[in-house]
Amino acid sequence: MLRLFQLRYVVLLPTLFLVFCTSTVLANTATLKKCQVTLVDKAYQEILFYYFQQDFYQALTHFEILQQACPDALKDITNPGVDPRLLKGGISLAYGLDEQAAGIFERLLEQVAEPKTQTQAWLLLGKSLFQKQQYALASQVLGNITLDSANEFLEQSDKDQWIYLQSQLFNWQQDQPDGKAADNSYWLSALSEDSIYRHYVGYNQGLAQLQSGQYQQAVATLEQLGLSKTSFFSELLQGWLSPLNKVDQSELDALRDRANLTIGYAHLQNQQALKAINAFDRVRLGSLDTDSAMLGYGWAAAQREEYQIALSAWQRLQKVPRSNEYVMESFLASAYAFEKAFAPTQAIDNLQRGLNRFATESQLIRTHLLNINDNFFLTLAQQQDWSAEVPAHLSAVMLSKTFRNQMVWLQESQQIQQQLAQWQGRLDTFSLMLDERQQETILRAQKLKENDLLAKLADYKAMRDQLEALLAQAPQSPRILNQEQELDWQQRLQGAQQSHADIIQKRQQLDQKPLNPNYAQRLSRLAGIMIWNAAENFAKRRWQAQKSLNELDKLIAQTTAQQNRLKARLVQQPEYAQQRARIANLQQTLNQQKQQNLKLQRQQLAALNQLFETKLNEQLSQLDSYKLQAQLAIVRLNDRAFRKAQADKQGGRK
Amino acid sequence: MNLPKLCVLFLTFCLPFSTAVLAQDDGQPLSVAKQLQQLKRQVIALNRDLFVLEEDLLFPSSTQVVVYLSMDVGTYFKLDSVELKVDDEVVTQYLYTDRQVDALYRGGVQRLHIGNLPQGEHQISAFFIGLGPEEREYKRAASFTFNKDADAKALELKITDSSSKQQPEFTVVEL
Repeated sequence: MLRLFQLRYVVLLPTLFLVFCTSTVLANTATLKKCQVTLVDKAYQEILFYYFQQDFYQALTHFEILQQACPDALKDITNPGVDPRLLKGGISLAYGLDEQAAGIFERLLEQVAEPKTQTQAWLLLGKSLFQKQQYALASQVLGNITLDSANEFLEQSDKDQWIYLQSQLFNWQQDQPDGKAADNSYWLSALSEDSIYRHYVGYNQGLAQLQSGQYQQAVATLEQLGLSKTSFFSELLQGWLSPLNKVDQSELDALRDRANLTIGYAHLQNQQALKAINAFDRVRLGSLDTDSAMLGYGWAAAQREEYQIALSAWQRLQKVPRSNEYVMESFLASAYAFEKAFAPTQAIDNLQRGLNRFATESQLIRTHLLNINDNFFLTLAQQQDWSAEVPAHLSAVMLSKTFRNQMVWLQESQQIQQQLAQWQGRLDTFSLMLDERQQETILRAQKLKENDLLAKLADYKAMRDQLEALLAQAPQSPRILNQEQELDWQQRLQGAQQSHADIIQKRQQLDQKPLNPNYAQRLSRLAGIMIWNAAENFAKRRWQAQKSLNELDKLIAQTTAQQNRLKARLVQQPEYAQQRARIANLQQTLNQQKQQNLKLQRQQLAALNQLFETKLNEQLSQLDSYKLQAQLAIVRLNDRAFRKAQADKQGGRK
Repeated sequence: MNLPKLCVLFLTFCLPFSTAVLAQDDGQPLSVAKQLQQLKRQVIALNRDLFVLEEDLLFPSSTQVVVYLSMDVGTYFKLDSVELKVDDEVVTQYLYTDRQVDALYRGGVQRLHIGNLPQGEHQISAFFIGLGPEEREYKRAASFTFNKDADAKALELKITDSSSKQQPEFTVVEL
C-alpha cells in the first residue's frame, strides 16, 4: 500500500529532474553585468596593473575589451586620477601608436575644457608629434603650454619632460627660415634638481648658445656638464646605493664625452688650441667619441704647430680596428703634419699606407655588397643585441639612426608574426574544443535516451494518479493518512493481536484454561484509540495531502514544459554555429593580418637592402675621394721633391 | 688640404646629442612606420576579439567566477605569494615580482583567477605570505562563503593597512 511518505519521495524526484532541466536553460540565457560601475572600476584597475608594469600591449588590449563591452565606461570610472582617455593616449604613445595617440589627444582637446586636462593633453600631443618628427606642429602644440601653466597643472616629471622637448626643438626652430630665438633662459632653472633630463637640457642649451654665436656662454654651459666628475663611490657602486638616481652612469659618461668634444671643436674654431686640447683630453678612451676627439686633438696640436704631438695622436688613430671617417682622415691629416714638419718622404709613406687601407676597406665593402640578402637582416633582427657585434666596415651604416629604426620595425614585424602564429594555434584549439563539445553533447543525448530518463516523468505521473485515487478512499479508511509513528504502532498492534490469537489457539489445543480476558480488552482499547486518533486528524491530514498533491501537479507541469524544450533541443544537432562563425571570422582576420605583415616585411627588407646599398656605395665614394686626395697629394709631393731635386742639381752644377 | 675647417664645421654643428635625433636621416619611408602602426592596432583588436572569444568559450557567464586581488600602499605588508583555494582545492599559486607588487601599490588590480563553478554554495580561501610589520615573515588566511547563481561572480581579495591596529588586514568581498 502506498503511504504518504512515499508521496514525499515521489515529489523529490521530479524536483531534481526539474533542477537539471532548468539549469541547462538558465546557463544559456544568463547575461553578464559587465558594465556595472564596480566591475568597470575593476577592469580599469586591471589595465592599470598592466600599465604600471609597462606591459602596454596587454593594457591596450584590455582598454579595447572594456570599451567594446561598455562604450561609455571610461566616463563612469570612479576616482581615476587622470582622465582615462589621457591614459589611453599615453599608453598608445608609449607602445608606438603615435597616430592613435594624436587622435585621442585631439578629441580630448575638443571635448574637455578643463585647463589641467588640456595642459596634459597638449604635452602628450606635442610628444606624439615630436616622435612622428612633425617638429613644426610639435613646436606649435607645445607652445600652448606656458611656464605658468606648466607650474600649475603639470607634475614635476612632466614639466621636466616639457622643458626637455622644448630644448630638443630649439635647434630645429633656429634652422627654420623664419626661426626666432625662443626664450631658453628658464630651461635649467625651471628643471627639478634631480631631473633625468638635466644633463640633456644642459647640453642642448650649450649647443643652442653656440649656434647663436654665444661662444663664451656656450662653453661655460657645456663645461658644467663636461667638467662634472663621477665620484669614486658612484663608480664603484654603479648606482647601487642610490636607486633613485635614474640616469644611467654610462649614459651620463657618454653625454659628458660629447660635451667635451663639442667644447673642443668650439675652441678649435675660435683659435683656442690649448683649451681645445684640454677639452679633447677629457674625452674617455673607450668612448663613442674617442676617434673624433683624437682627430680633433691632432688638429689642435697642429694649430699650435706641435706636429709631433699631432702625429702621435693621428698615428694612434690609424691603428684602431675601426673604419670610420675619423680613422680614414687621420691618414691624410698625418701626411699634412709630416709635410708641415718638412718630412715629405714620411708623408708619402703615410699616404701610401692610407691608400692600402682605403683599398682594403673598399674591398671589404664590395664583398659585403655582393652578399647582402634578406636572410642577413632577418637573422640580425632575431638577435636582441645585434648592435654589439657590428663589423668595423659596416658600422657607419649599421649604427645609423635610419638603419636602427628600420631594424626596430623589422623586429616588431617579427614579433607580430610570432604573435599571430601563437593565436593560430589557439584558434585551432578552439575549433577542436567545439568539436569535442559537440561529441560530448551527442553522447549525453544518447545516454539520456539509453537511461530512459525522459520516460520517467510518465511513471511519476502514474504514481501521482495512484496517490490521488488512494486519497479518494481516505474518507472510508482514514488510517491511509497515518503518519510513520502511527503506522509503526499499527503494525505492532497487529503483531500483538496475532500473538494473542495464536496463544488462545495453543491453549485450547493443550486443554488449558482460557486466557485472561484482560488481554483482549486491552488490545481492543488500543485499536479503538488508534481509530479515534486517525478520525481526529483526518481533516487536517487530508488537507495537507491534497496541498502536496497540488504542488506536485505544478512541478510536473513545469517539468513537462522543460522536458519538451529539452526534447526539442535533443532533436537538433549541436552545431555551435555562432561560435564557429566567430572563429571563422577571426581566422579570416588573422589570415589577412598575416598577409599584411608579410607584405610589410617584404617592403622593409627591400628598404633595408636599398639603404645598405646606398650607404655602402656612399662609403665607397667617400673612400674613392680619400684615395683621390691621397693620390693627388702624392703627385704633388713627388712633384715638389722632383723640382727640389732639379733645383739642387742645377745649384750643384753652378 | 682644408681638413681642419671641414672637421670643425662638421663636428660642431652636426652632432646634437639627444635621446631622439631631430634630423630625419635620409628620407626614411615613414609610410612603413604608419603601416606598421596600423597593423599593430589591428593586432590589438584581434587580440581583444580572441580574448573575448576565449573567455566566452572557456568561462561562460553561467559558471564564471573571477577573483581579483588588490593592495593598499603596503605600509604593513609586502606581498610575496598567494595561494587560492576554492572548495578546498588549490586553483592558483602566485609568486609576485617587485614590479607586480609596485603595480598593486600604485592602484592596479590583478585578476588572480578565473574559473568555472556550478551554481550553489562555495567557499573560497586565500593564504597570503609576505613580510609583515618590522620585516617579519607574515602568513595569514581569509575565507569567504558565497552563493554562485546564474550570473558571473566576481570576488575581490583585499589587503589593507589598518593604522589603528598597525597590522595588515585581509578580507574577501563580493563585487
